[in-house]
Amino acid sequence: MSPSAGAFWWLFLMAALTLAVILTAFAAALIIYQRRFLQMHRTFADNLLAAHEEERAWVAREVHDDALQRVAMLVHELDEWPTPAAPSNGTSDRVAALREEIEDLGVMLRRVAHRMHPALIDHAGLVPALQSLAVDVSRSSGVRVEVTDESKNDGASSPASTEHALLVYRIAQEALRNVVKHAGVSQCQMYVAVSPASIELRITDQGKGFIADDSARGRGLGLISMAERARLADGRLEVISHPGAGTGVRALIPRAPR
Amino acid sequence: MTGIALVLYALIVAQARRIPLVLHAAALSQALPVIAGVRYGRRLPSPRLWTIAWCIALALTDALQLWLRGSTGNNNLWLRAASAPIQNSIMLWTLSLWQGDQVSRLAFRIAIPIFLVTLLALVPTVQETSSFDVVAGPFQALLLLAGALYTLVRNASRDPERITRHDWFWITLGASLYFGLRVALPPFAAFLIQQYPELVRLAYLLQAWTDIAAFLIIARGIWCPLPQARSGGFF
Amino acid sequence: MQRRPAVLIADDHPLVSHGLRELLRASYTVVGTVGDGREVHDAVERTKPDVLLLDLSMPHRNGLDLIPELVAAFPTLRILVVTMHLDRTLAELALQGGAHGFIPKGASADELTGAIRDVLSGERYISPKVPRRSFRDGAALEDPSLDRLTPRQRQILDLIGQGKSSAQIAELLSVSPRTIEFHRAQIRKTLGISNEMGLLRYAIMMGSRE
Repeated sequence: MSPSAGAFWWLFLMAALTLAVILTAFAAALIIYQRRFLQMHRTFADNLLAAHEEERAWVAREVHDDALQRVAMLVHELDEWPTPAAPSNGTSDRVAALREEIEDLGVMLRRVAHRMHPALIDHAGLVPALQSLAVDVSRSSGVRVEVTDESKNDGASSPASTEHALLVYRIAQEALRNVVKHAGVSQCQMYVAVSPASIELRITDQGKGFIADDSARGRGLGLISMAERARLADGRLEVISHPGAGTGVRALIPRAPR
Repeated sequence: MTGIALVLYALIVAQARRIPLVLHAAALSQALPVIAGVRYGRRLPSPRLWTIAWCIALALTDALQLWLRGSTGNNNLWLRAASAPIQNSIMLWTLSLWQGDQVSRLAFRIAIPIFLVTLLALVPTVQETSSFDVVAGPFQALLLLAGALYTLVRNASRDPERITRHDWFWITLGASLYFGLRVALPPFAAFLIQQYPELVRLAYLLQAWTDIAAFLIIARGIWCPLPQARSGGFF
Repeated sequence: MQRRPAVLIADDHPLVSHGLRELLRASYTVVGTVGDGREVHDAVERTKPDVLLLDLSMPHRNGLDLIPELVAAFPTLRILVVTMHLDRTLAELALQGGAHGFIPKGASADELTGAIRDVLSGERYISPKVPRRSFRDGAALEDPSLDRLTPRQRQILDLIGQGKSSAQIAELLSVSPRTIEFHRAQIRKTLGISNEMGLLRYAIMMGSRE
């Protein structure tokens, strides 16, 4: 091989190889970094969400088991207060009034507990909890929420785990919050379907809509927290919306064991 | 340790009288960083320790090469082809330890298997060992030159003020010098060996001198004061 | 005259069962108390009560699941759910399952005895304290933001709308005027009204809607 022509070829080959190795190494490093360290962030976010729910459940439990029990106890104490046969200085009235005040305290505490943790999920399951949520939202916002249970009732499906149920519940809460705040409608629809394979939740409204691209920053943490919750359960969240054409939020959570 | 190396070397020299002195000196200069390492001994931070390992690898290879040349009269090309990847892997690993961000660190480490695979792929495609030499050696040298310069520039841009206090400054500088010549020289030599053998001999002498300079600089890097104890580390 | 109706109390909080027992002692015979969901069925079988006061959140068995079982096994038993959770959906679920009544734990003696009476005579009873489905149920068209207030606060707001002063409201409700001031401040905070004038206007506006 003649030195001059061959030499350039070898030089070129050498440079090309070097470049190839460098590029490949950096590309591979980037990919691995993405996977490994994003996973770390994800795990952290997941733990944060889980810890959050645990704290709330704890508060709700404390309120129920301790504070509300004390309220009930106070009420009963007052019930046993000996009232004179002839109401003299209005003592019985005052006692009754005090009882009502304490009961009112109980109402307020119950609301706190309910907001922390929807106990209905533990007692009756996800669908009744969502129905109750719909009732609460209707009452407190004026927006009527129609709930449709599309679950196939074959009796064989076991109830959703509390973690999954809570996740779906929180997603529903957030989605309904958005409807009330932004959609400008007087009613909306919620569909839920619990099957052995998955839990599906759809919340739709025919309201103002918005531009649902990836950078829906104006909406605050709402959409992001919904998406994170769905991802936490290996599920998916879809948001479809157009200005003037309403909004649809759909969460699909698989129930198959990991 | 260095005493043993010196003694070993003296034995080899006794066998190979035909070689000019500067080449000996160049080979000897590889011990300089190792001697500099005596200052802090085991307290040396790991990049410097790995640099010393690299120098030892070089020295061992050269010693072996000299011994074999002494007995057979020829340079053993297999040894040269096989030793370079090992030495260069060590240096790549060393450079990875100086990277400030995770991506670069990973990249340097991943580059090791990648370049080894590339070398293996080269073997069947290149017929003559001499041609293989012309590509494989410079390719690795270019790779490591790029790595050393990248490390130097990136780290310098992060802390330009007290640059000469850092070990990486000196060591990557020395390494760049060392590898820089090895990029250019083999093709140059292959080019001109037929027509201008004297020029080629001079070029190799030049390489020997720059090697000495390079190892002096590297030794200076090893001699750098230890960094203050820092809480936490690179993230 | 027939014997006094027999009542079995199923609740895991001893304070509550004691309180209920005291409340009922005058008119009913409390035949026993049960604290564990698994024991309810046997206890009913053993003591043969007319009415079962059932708490939903007992350990080991979900109260809601128990109801259909008990209804099937004891057709003449009347089940009155007594629970902390004042939830409309829960009430409807309980009644759908076969319970006859739904009443909160904080109910007064009158309400409790009234509920038992209704339930014994075959009627269904849901406590008026259970929040309604929507503000449109019932006679009046309320402002949804009223939902944020507690019943007491709504009562006081009503009275403010009628033009009563704090002193008058205190007199009417048999509490001290300081308590009324406290409630007014809380109402303003909850509704986001900054001064008393605003509160008065709001209260009148609410009142005029009826």
